[in-house]
Amino acid sequence: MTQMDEQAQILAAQQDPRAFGALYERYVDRIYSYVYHRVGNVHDAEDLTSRVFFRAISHIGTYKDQGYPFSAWLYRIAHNLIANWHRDRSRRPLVSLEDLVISSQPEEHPESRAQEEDDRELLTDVLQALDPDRRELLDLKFNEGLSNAEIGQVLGRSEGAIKSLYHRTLLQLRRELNKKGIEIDVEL
Amino acid sequence: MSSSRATRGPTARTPNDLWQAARAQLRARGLWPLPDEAFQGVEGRLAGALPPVEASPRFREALAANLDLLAQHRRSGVIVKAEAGSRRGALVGLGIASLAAAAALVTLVVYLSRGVSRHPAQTG
Repeated sequence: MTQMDEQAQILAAQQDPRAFGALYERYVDRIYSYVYHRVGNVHDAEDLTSRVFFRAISHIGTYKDQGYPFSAWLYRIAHNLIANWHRDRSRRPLVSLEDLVISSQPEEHPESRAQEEDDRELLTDVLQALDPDRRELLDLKFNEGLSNAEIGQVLGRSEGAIKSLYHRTLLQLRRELNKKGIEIDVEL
Repeated sequence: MSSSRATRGPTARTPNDLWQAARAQLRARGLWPLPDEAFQGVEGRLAGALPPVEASPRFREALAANLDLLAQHRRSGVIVKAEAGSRRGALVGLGIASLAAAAALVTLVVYLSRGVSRHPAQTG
């Protein structure tokens, strides 16, 4: 699907809400995944994902192309709803990272597999200790594939601020991984 | 040329060498940004640690049906609003209760003030 196709779908949905289904089908999994990583359970992820799309279909008429993909608009809605959700419940994001870790390939040697499992556990611990905004940034970048500018649009920050936060986050991760014995050798 | 290098000795450093060493020290202390290559290892690990999560087919279909229903209602002119939630109801209830309490208080004060004003006349 090209950008032109998406623009046509948006225009159609603005003229007739029944055409919103195509946009929904295109983005429901990505939005759900993003929400799930923020709230950490299926029940709230489904509830919030529903709210995202209800709000989107209700406000599709006010959507204006500002140079960012339509997905950034959806992520922005999701981000705001999740922020309200956390505020109302005074909860911190809790994600069962153990469930998110990909299992090893079965054909690997047992030794290397065990080592890889250990590394993943350590990485899980390190990610768990990150601030919520840093984890959200990593999720938007690695899982959703958004650019720094698009992430800035979602989080309400400038592209420069996102780039800076991203580098600080990687630096923190690298430092914490090195502390835990996962050496990432780099010529300084 | 070779004689001049010989006079500087094997430990002689060029300005570039000194700059590289100084930059390495600054980077080790977090005072100078690391090169992009420094993060490739971290990024490689992260890419595999944050896999996407898919919604269940049951949920996807149910939400699609609900959105379609909403779209049809909007198309036919029926305005469907999301549930306002209990917060608005609580605020309205609190407002009504406050007004009722204020009215009761005023009534009580008026009643008592009249009772006090009549009392001396009855005793006199």
